[in-house]
Amino acid sequence: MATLKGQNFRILTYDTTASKFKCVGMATSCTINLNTNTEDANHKGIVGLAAVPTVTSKSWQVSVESLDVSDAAAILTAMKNQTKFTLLWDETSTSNNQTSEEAAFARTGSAYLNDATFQFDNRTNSTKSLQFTGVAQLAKVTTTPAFEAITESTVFTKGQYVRLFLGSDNTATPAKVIASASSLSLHVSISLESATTKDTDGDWEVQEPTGLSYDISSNALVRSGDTITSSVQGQALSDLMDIYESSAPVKFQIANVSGDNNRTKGAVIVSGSVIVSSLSISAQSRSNATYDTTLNGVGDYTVGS
Amino acid sequence: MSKAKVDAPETEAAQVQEQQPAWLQELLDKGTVILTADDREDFGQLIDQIPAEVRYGAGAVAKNHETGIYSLRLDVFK
Repeated sequence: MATLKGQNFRILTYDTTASKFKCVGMATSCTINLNTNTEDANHKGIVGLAAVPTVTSKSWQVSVESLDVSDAAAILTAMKNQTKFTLLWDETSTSNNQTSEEAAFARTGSAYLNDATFQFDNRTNSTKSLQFTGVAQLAKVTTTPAFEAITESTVFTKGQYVRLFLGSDNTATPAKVIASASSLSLHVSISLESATTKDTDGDWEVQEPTGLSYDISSNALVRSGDTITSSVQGQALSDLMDIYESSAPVKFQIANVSGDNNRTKGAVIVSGSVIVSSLSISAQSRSNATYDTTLNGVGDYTVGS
Repeated sequence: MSKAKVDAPETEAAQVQEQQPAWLQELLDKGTVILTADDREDFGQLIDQIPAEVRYGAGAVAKNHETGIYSLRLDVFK
């Protein structure tokens, strides 16, 4: 029996429209964590010092990394709507690693997509990282799952073609990109709380969403010559400092870009309002001075513009 | 611009109403569509054809580095 390679172990999500499971496209890695919470049941009647753990609850999480960021709008909408996913993991084979092998370790269950990060770095293939948390029990796969093959081709999004547009107030549509930016990430998180009660069957934790938050991180070079009289084509460090000092939210958009200097706004992926929660400047000798900004979302984001 | 097209089977395209492009009809019918174009700037003019009342979102534009073709996925939200 050969060792199973990572590409033959895949995560699938159930497509309610097609009534079939589909692989997470262009996935590069996945992780499954099955956790057991225990309580020490040792007492005076037990001889010795050894703990006597007993199972109090069980939970599971699935993480997937992928090079496909074309479904950003769908992912962001699913999180906003607290959509529950049906997941399946299984051994897969054939040329596209998508055909079910009905492995004995295959399992299925419902989960919330509770954490997603989209990374758009300069001259790098963009990525998404998804984390699902099971809301109830896992089930063994007893019949052949209905699979639908997806098209996985060599389509990539280089990070320089997705940029952050940041306004200077909370009214006008942001028109300026972060000047000389090198990286951008969007992170959305749903907080889950245990809703397990005495009514709950079995040991599995029941999870319910209780809140949503998001943040945006950006790294950019500090531009020389950004003086009090200059006009920089884009939001520079000085603008970010003004926004930080104002303590007020400003409008943002993350959008596809094209044109000169990749500054022409195309289809908007997500928009909303943010405050600057941190600004960190790094100036090391014989290196480019850079600054990192973290922006925290204020209220709901809007998918698209 | 005229080179922009959609990955839709011809049989479905034939059923499309006259006044709407095939890709828009597919977006409205299926809730999702993948547009393709020779230039990333072409998508703007296509998106402008979506009626204002349609709530949709766009993903990140991707490039097929074997063919040079760009693609953009749109999803309708109800």
